[in-house]
This record gives sequence, C-alpha cells and structure tokens, in this order.
Amino acid sequence: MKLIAAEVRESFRFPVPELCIVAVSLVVIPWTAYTAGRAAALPCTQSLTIIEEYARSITLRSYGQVAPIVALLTTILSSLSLARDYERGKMHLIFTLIRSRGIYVLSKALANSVLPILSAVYSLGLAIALSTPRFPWLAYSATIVVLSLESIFFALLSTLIATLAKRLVPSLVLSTLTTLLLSTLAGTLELTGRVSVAEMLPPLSFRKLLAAFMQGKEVHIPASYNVVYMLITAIMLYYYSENKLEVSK
Amino acid sequence: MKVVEFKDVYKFFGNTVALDGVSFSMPQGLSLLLGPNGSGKSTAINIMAGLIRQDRGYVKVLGEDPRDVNREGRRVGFLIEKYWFYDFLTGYDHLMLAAKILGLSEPEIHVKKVLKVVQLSEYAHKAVGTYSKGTLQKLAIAHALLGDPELIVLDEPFANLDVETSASLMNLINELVREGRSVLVSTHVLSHFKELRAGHAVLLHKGKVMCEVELGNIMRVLEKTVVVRGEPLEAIYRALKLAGFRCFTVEDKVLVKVSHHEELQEIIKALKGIKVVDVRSGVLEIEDLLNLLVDEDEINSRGS
Repeated sequence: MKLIAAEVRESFRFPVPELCIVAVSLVVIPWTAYTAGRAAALPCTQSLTIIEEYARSITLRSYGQVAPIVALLTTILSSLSLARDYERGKMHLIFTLIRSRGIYVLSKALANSVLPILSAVYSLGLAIALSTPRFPWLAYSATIVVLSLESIFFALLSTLIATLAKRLVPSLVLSTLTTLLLSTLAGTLELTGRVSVAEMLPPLSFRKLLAAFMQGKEVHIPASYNVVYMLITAIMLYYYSENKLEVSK
Repeated sequence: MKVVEFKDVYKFFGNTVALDGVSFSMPQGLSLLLGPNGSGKSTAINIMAGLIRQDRGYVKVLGEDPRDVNREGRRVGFLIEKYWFYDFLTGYDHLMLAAKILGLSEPEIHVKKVLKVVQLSEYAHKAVGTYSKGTLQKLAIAHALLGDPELIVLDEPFANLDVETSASLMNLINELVREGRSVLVSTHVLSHFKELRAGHAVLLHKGKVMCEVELGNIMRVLEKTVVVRGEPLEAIYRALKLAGFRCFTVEDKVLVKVSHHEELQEIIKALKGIKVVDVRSGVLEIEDLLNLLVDEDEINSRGS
C-alpha cells in the first residue's frame, strides 16, 4: 500500500495534474458554454420529470465529451510511468525487493488511473453544473463509476503495452495509437449503423453500461463485455510481468 | 555448499551473445566476478537477481531458482548496476518503504542498522534529490543489506565512490565475510582487492569464462608483473627479451613477469637508452590480468 501511495504521489507531481486539468477543461468548457445557454432558457417552473430527463441527457452528452479525454490521459500516464521506471532503473531496484512483480505492475496501473478519475470528477461536475439548473447527483455518481472503470481498463491496457514495448517513445506511441484505434473503430462502426457491434468495443461498451445504469432494465446491460475485457487484460498483465517480463539488458 | 551455480548458460540480446555457455560456481565466503566492460558480468548478475532469464542452461542461487530464492524472506540482497529512487522521499523513507515491502519485523531497527553500516545516518532525513552520486550508491548498498541476507551480490559497488568511501566499503565487505555471510562482487577494478588473499574469482571475457582461480593467485600475478610504457614499444620488448625477461606487448605497454621486486632495477638497467615513460609494479588492468592468466595457464599445461 505504501508503494502504491508513493506511485500516486509520483503521478501527482507538477506539472502532470495541472496539465490534466487544463486538458479536460479545454474539452469541456467550450462545449458547456453552448449548452449552458440552453439550460438557462428552461423555465424553473417546469416539471421535475422534464428537468430530470434533460439532466440525464446532459449527463450522457457530458460523458461523451469527457470519456475520450479520460481514456487518453490514462493511456499516456500509465504507459509513460511504466516505461520511465524501466528506463530509469526503478523497476530493477523494486523487482529485487518485491515477491510478486505481477501485483506490483497491476497496482501501478491502478495508481495511474487515480489522476484521470479525479480529472473526470472535476470536468464532468463542471460540465453538468454549467448546463443544468439542478445537479443530477445520481446520474453524476453513475457516470463517475463508469468513467472510473473505463479509466482502469485503459490503464491496464496501456501498462500491458508498455511492459511489452518497454522503451518510453514506443510505449507512448503504441498505447496512444491503440486507444485511438479502438475509439475510431467503435465510432466508425456506430456511424455505419452497426451499433450493436460498436457497443461491444471498449469505449462505447462503457457508454452502453452507463445508459444501462440510467435507463433501467429495458437496455441490455453490456457489463459482461467490460468485465471480460478488464479481466483478460489484468490476467495478461499479471502473467506477463510475473513470468516473462525482462527488466534489464 | 555452492552459493551460486551457472551451468552452460547462454543469453542472447538479438544477435549479440551476452553469455556464451558460461559455467562456474561460487563457494561460500568472498567471490569476485571479474571482467572488462562488456564481458557479461552485469548480465550474469541480472540473471542471478531474476531480472532476466537465461535462454539456455540453468542457474541456481543458494540452491534455488533465482526468482524463488527470496519468496520466503530475504536470502539474497542485490546492488544492481541500474537503480533509481523517488527524489521526493528521504533515504530513511526509502529504506523504510523497502523494509515494509520485504515484510521485515521491526523495520526501524533494520533501517537504522544499515544506515549506520553504510555511514549514511547523517543524510538519512534529507530528500534523495539532494544526494550526490556517491551518497546514492551508499543508499543502494544499504538496500542490498536490508534484512540480513545470507548472500549479498554487489554489481560494481565502487562506482562513484571516493577513495575513503571505497576503503570503508572494502572493510564492510571483509566484515560481512567474517560474520559468515557470502559476498559476491562484480568489478573491473582490481586495486580494491590488493590486500585480500582468501576468496574465489571467476574471470569473464566476451561472455565466456576465461578461468576460475583463487584470489591469492591473482594477487600473486599482480605483484609479480611490471608494466612498462614508452617509445618505441618494439624496442622495449626486444631489450627486455634480450635481458632474459618473459614479457609481451599489450596495446600501449609491455608486461614483464618478474619473480621478485628487486628485478625492477634490472628492468630499468635493460631499458637504458630507450625512452621510457612509466615503469610500475602491482598495477594491472583487468584485460592485462586476463592475458597474464592465460599465459600462465599455457605455461602450466606445457610444464605438466
């Protein structure tokens, strides 16, 4: 736990949190400036149901804005962190001390998803607060849970790529490209009408999970896809770092 | 009991052969892994530390697979060539973190003990970011000593250390061996071990074991070799041969084998009229030692 705490502290060092806040704000604020005007136009006397529905749709749309940037932030932070440890020699020292490398690498992935999750909490809150007269706490909490899961998934995936690529630049490029490729593929499939297939792919599967959370039983819950993806990635990462990862030349 | 055993070990990095069928074993006590840069010393140490796996052959550390040896508590402590610390933590915090990862009971006592041993107590509560290279090296050595391991493996421990600290590290190594622990030191600097007579040494060169010898033999070779530098090298070589010395040319110097120190005067006499820059005894580079040991081996085999 102390090691994870040190890792989290390491990821919070200047200028990383500042850059994360700027990145999410740049994405969210221009978009909410437009929707905020629409929200202000709504009369306060409107029925609760209408406000709830509106808030819900704002939440979903805010999620659509925040999710890609959270995925990208997690990808960059996780791959950089692991590759940097490899190049600087921190991994060498730690691996002569710890008993399970797999647990260390898995916890490192989790530690690197903390900052993107906090950025999501901030940016999504900001987006919704600027867009609706009444803050939908339930929808907000559900969105944060889904964004956290998404962040952890991309952290695991990027850490796995970094353990394979090892070096800083290849790790960063490969993991970022993988995240972008998954998002683009899912987006293209959705645009071409193959929505059910698109929603099986990670970025959209998480959106579907959120929709399922918020709309109840009428939507098929694709939680199983996400659980399977996360488990497969975590097992691969654990197995590779425990048995195959060579940390020195 | 053998503390380290390598049997027909191969390690490749792409097309480069880092270890080429290496076999050696190291007994309890002090052992040296000697060799010039690029000879495969660090690769061998990294295999012992479980950081990399050999492609072929088997390796045992304290009778176990390198990755399993520390599973039930710390039996082997490593100072590896490459290390890095969180610069916002203090040396004390680092060692406490390592002690907790190792699951040591009473970590404070362990940490204070190793800090005292490596003479780092003064800097213990300063951030690692403010440490000099030598102080960082001491902190890395302190990590290796945490948990009282049976075997301590030190890869180039004298790097970045000044003369005084090197001498105190040498004393520490002697102290650890006297306590009954095994210490394996990988180095390309021979001068630190001048005073030692007991111990085992393995010489690696281009990924192969050149020879396994007792440390005393190395030191005898070291003492009975005179290094001559000057111009022209060919003239120096011929003059010494003519005077009946056994010598050979290595790069920019001539190595002369002598049976006692008094022969130094005779060497100087034999070189009269030739421009000599430097004549020294007891100072050898690891590559020269390799040449001398190979030469001695040949002589011994011819004699037998």
